Amino acid sequence: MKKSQALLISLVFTILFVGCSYVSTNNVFFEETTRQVYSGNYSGAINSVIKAKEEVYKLKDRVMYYLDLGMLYHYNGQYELSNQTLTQAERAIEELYTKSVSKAALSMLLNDNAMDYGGEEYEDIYLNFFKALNYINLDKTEDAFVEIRRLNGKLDVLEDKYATLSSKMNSSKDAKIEVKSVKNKFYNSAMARYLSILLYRNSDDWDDVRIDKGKFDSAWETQPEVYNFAKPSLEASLDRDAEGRLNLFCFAGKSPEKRSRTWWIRTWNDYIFIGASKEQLSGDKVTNYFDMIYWKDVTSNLFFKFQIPVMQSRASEIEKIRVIVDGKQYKTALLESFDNVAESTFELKKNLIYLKTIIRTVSKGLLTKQGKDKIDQQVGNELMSSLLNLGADLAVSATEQADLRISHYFPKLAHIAEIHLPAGDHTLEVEYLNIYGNVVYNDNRGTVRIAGDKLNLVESFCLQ
Amino acid sequence: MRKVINLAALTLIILIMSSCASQNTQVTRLSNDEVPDLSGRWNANDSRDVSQQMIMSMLSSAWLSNFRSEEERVPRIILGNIENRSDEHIETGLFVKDIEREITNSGKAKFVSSKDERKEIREERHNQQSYASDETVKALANEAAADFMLIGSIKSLRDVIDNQQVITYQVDLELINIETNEKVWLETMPKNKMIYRKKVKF
Repeated sequence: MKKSQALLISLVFTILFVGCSYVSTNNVFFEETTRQVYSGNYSGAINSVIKAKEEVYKLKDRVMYYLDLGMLYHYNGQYELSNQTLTQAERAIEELYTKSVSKAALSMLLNDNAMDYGGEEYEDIYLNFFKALNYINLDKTEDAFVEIRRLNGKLDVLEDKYATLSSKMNSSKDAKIEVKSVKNKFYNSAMARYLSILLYRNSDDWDDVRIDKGKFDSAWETQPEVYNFAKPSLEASLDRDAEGRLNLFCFAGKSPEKRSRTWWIRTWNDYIFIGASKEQLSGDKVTNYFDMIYWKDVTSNLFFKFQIPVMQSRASEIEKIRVIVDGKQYKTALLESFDNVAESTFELKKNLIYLKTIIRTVSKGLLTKQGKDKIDQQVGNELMSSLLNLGADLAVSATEQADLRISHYFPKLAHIAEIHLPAGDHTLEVEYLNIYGNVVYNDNRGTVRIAGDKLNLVESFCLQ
Repeated sequence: MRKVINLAALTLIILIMSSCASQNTQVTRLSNDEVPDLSGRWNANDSRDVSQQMIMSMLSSAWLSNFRSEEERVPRIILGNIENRSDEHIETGLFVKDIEREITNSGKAKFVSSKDERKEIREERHNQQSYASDETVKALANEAAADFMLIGSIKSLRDVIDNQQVITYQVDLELINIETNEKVWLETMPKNKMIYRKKVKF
C-alpha cells in the first residue's frame, strides 16, 4: 500500500520537478516552421529553429534539433553548415547507443519522452545521403562516396541490431512475454545505389557502375514492400556516349510524423469501460471506440492507459513532377519513398516500444489501484474519495504519453530524371503538379550550365 | 512510511542525475604519442603508425638501391592521388606528409612539389622574370622532373555485432616509374581495431 502511495506522490513530484517536456512531445512549435518550409522560406525556418533551441529542443532532443537544422541548411544551399550539423546529429546518435540508466529509470516512471531521442533508423540512414549531396555540391566527390559507404554500412547492421536486442530480452530470466523480432525489409537503398552509379560514372569507373546497377535492380526484387512502385529505367544513365547530362533529384512532400493511439480501461461497479482514441495529423484526438461491458464482481476502480506511437504519413499536394528544359517537357520517375522506409524501419523496434509501454502502464495501474483503495479506507467522505481517485487517475494519465519525437524536414518522395543535352547553357524549370494537373509550385532555375565532362546534378524541392 | 520516503528519495536522485549533467570543460595537453582513442575513428595514432611502417618498408626495398646503382643519384618522387575509399572522412594528406618528410629528411630520396604546389611556384618564377634582379632570378624550364609517382588508397571494412565492432583499415601504396609505368614498390598495411561500446552509463 505504502508503495502505491509513494508512486502517486512520486508521479506528481516528478511532473512538477522535470516539467512537461519530460512527459509529452511538443508539436505546436512545428506548425509555424512547417508553414515557412511550405512556402520555401528555408532561411526563416532556420532562424525559427535556432531561436527555439532552448525553448523547444531540450538537450535530450539534440538529435532532432541537428537533423531539423541540418536538413533546412541543405534546402537553403548552405552545404558546409548542413554537413557540420548533420555530422553532429550522426555523432549524437552514435553516443546515444550507450543508454543512460538514470534516464531509463525515469522513463519507466514517466514514459519514453524522458529519454534522450536517439533518432529513427531512417533518419540515421538518410542523413548520410543528404551529406553525400552536400559534398557533391561542394565538389568533394571522394567525401560523397564516404557518406554512401556509411549509409550502406548502417543498412548492413540494421537487422542484427534489433534481432540481438529482442533475443537478449527473451533470454532474460525475468522475461514474461516473448518479444517477436521483426524481419528487416529494408537493407538496400535504391537512391543510394543510384547516386553511386552517377559518381562512379563520373569517374569513368564503369565496372563499379555495373555492380551498383545490379544492386539497384535487386532493391525492387528483394524489397517489394519498400519499393512498391515501378522501377525507374536507367537506360539514359548507362549510355556512355552522352555529351552532357543533366541529373535531377526532385524531392517532394514531407516525411511522416508520429501520432498517438490511446487505449484506456476503467472498471467500476461490475462494469468494464473500454475506450480508444486516435490522434489525427492535426493533433486532434478522436475517440474511435467506446464500450461498456458488464462483468459481475470485476475488481472495481482499476484504471489503465496505454498510449503508443505510430508512424503516420503526411499528405502531399504533389502528384506529379515534370521538368522543362529549353521549353521541352520531360518526365521524372519515383525513386525512393521515405514514407515506406520510415514505416518499415519503425516496425523493427515497434514491438519493443509496445512491450515497454504495457509493462509500465500495467505496473502503474496496479500500484495506483492500491493507493486508491487506501484513500477509500482513510477518507470517509464518498465525494472526496471519488475526487481523490479521479486525481490519481489523472496523474497516471498525464504521465502516460507516447514519445512522438521525430525530425520534421526530410522529404516524402524522391524523383529523378536524366536529360541528355549538348554542353552549354540551358533554361531549367521544375513543375510540381497536383492531382488535377495544376502547377502547385514552379521551381524556375533560370539558366544552368551543363558541362560535358562532369556530373551536373541539380536538386529541386517542394515540401508541400 | 519508510518505503514512501525511500521511493521518493530514489525519484529525487534519478531526477537530479538526469537533469544536472556536468558541463565543465577541462583541457589537458598531450604529447604526440599519447593521443587517446576516443571514438574509434582513424586518428593521429593510426596515421603515425602507418606512415612509420610504410617508410621503413619503402626505404628498405630493392627499388631504391637499384635506382641508385643505375642512375648514381637519389630518386625524385612526386605525390599522386591517395584515394580515400573508406567509410570515414580520413585526411590522407596527414600521413602522406609524414612519409614525405621522413623520406626527404633521410636523404635517400627527394620529393618534388605536387601539382598544386608547382602551380604556385611557377607563378612565382614567372613573376621573378619581370621583377627580380638578373643575379637572383631563377631560370625557367629548369625543373627537376620526378622519376616516380606515389599513389595509393585507404579502404575500410567494418564488422559489427551488438556493441562490438572490428574495423580493418587497409592502406595500399604503390610507387610507379613515370617513364616505364612499372610498379617498383607496393606495400599493403592492414590495421585492425576492435571497438567496444558501453551499453549503459549512469
